[in-house]
Amino acid sequence: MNNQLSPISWQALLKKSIVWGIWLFFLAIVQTSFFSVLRVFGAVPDLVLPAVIVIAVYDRERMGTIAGIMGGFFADALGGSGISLLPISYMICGIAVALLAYSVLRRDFASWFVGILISLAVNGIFSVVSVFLSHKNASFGFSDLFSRLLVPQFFASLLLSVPVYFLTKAIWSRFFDNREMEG
Amino acid sequence: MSKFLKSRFFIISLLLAIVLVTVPTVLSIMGQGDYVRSALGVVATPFRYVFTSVAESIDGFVSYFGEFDRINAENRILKDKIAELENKISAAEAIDEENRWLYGYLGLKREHIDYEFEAARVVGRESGNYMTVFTLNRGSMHDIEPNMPVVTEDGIVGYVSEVGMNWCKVVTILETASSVGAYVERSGELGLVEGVYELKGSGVCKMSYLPSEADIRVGDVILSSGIGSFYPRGLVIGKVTELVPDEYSRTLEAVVEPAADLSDIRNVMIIRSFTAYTEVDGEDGTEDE
Repeated sequence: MNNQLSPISWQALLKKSIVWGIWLFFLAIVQTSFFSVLRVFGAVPDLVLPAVIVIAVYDRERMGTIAGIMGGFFADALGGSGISLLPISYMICGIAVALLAYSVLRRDFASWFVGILISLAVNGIFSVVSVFLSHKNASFGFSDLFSRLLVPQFFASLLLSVPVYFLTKAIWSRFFDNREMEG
Repeated sequence: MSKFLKSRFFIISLLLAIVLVTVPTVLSIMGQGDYVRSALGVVATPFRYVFTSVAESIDGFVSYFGEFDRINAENRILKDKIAELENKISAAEAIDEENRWLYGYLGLKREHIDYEFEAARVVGRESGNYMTVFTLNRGSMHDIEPNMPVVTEDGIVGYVSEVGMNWCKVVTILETASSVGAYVERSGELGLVEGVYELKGSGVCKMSYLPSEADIRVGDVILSSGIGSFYPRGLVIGKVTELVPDEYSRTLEAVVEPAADLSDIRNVMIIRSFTAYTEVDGEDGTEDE
């Protein structure tokens, strides 16, 4: 079995990692500062995950993985406390959407939209797990958690994910071209 | 798909992700922060400060309008409440005024049990400078007839000069057409209180036909005598404010200020019937007007 991936320039991978790292870090800052004051539907929208999904859709598994880990780590480092599973959950979302986009779907807005819907749902599950792990002694009703946390977070993130998509695509166009894409 | 999941890259990435999850979590449980997170926090803090400040400014701006709307709505509610309270105060003032008037009316009724009153309200005034002719809201349908005396709890106002179905006009004692048989309460000196054109503007009238040696002083109370006029005996007309001797006719004239405040009169009583005083029967006479 050949476990070697298609060859890619480590220099190009490093360049992409730096650019996307800065962008994801910036989004994590905006998410944890600006939108922690101006909440949408009473929740802080997730700006990092939509960007991770854009990168995964347009730059395949490897960058999807790196972006997922970086994005999760930044979001966790700036906004998380206690137990956080974001690096793992974002990485899983990034890989899954990248694989889906390149095997079943196409590299376009529709694929990204499907990807973001799935990712937000998966991330919601991870949020519930994180909440239960972080607050073992507290008594949570799932319906309460669903209505107060998951639904507002889902729709706030979905709403803000559209501008994030276009901004991330604009950065893509500014720094990279299609020839730099994997595969 | 399986190719990627079995690749060295994926395995390293997965291990890295697990490390990035577990190390901060363990350090957090131990109550310690890791250096990487701290460094990221240091870098992010100035930017977060800027973004938070911008967000707070926007939030403040939005809240201002939200607050403005709330204050505006509250202002409307308060205005409605003020209007409602003003109406209540106005109604209470009217009731208070009516109460005071009825109290006076009751006093007058006690003093003159033979009087049959008809309460009336002033609905119109006719005068260029001074209120000397009033229109009341009572008329023939209330059994009001011309020449009936009109009084307040303070004293005589005038008499009914003209009657409609639901209105009547009252000529006050200040008018030149008015004359009231009167006497000085303290001394019993008789005279006639008349309206004088020259004095009407000052809101006073004149008591004439007093002998020059009459026992009358400034401040004396003048009452109706019940003789030769429409008014029953014993009603207060007013007080003497000035005495004017007439050297040619050897008589005395007194300026009388009406007891009833004719400049601000709202409620009056029309005396529909009373026991008339006659010189033959004295005060016990029972002749109805």
